[in-house]
Amino acid sequence: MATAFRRKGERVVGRLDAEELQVVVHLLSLTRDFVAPEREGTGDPFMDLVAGLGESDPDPTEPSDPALRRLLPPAHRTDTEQASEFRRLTEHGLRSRKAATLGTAIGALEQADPPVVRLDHTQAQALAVALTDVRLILGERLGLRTDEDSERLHERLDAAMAGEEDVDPALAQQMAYYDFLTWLQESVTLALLD
Amino acid sequence: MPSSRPQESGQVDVLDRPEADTPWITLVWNDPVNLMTYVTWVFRTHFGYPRSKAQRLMMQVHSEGRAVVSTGAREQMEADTEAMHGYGLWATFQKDD
Repeated sequence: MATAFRRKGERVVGRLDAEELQVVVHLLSLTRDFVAPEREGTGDPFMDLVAGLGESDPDPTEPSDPALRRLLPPAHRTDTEQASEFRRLTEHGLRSRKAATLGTAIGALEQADPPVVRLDHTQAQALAVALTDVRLILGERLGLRTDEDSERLHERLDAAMAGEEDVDPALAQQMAYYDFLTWLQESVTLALLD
Repeated sequence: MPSSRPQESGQVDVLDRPEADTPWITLVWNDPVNLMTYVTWVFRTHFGYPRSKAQRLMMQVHSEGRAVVSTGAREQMEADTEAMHGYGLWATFQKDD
């Protein structure tokens, strides 16, 4: 059973049991695979720079998957030219950085000795940011469009668990994951703000 | 792009620089997923805003649907927008008109 994260000196410490930890790592890994750049880096920053500059056919169009579009949103609401130019210049770097942050969070949780999860400041920051990307994808798949949708999710989940509302089991599981990750992110963020 | 240097013998007075030098803004938009605590933390962490200013901007995003989170030269607004996207917030940049 998870307990909230708290700041302890330089560390952010909480508890997640082995199963919870496994689910979080799994969801973070799926998100990293989803968001990582389609063209892998060479590992050499200079070569990557050259490759990026020499890219003959950068794709400045919006992703067709709404979840990916939310992770890499247009940088202007109406000026599509500005948005495409920004996307062309920033998308590869943004995807690489997101994948790296997700990797840091995954590494930190994989090193944990459950139920105790002890994170340094960098790892805690990476986890807070990485959980955002997971929740943005799940939120999109769950059709959350308004603040009210999000607020209702917890109640709908409770009703489904109590058998008061008939919810598809796969959907109920997604809702449970989302609800748990919301709690986890809130807990880590509050510890960082402390 | 090279940064501009003050002219050694020119007549330009820095105090007379037109304000039109910095007519760009970064906006953050409300979304149903990002938590109020997290948005506050992002504004404190990225911009270095004090808690009260970070919370005020977060509340403005939450209640009005958007807030101007930074103002300055276009290049800086692009950098802020990219950073906000890194944090998972939906940001845009535009001329302040």
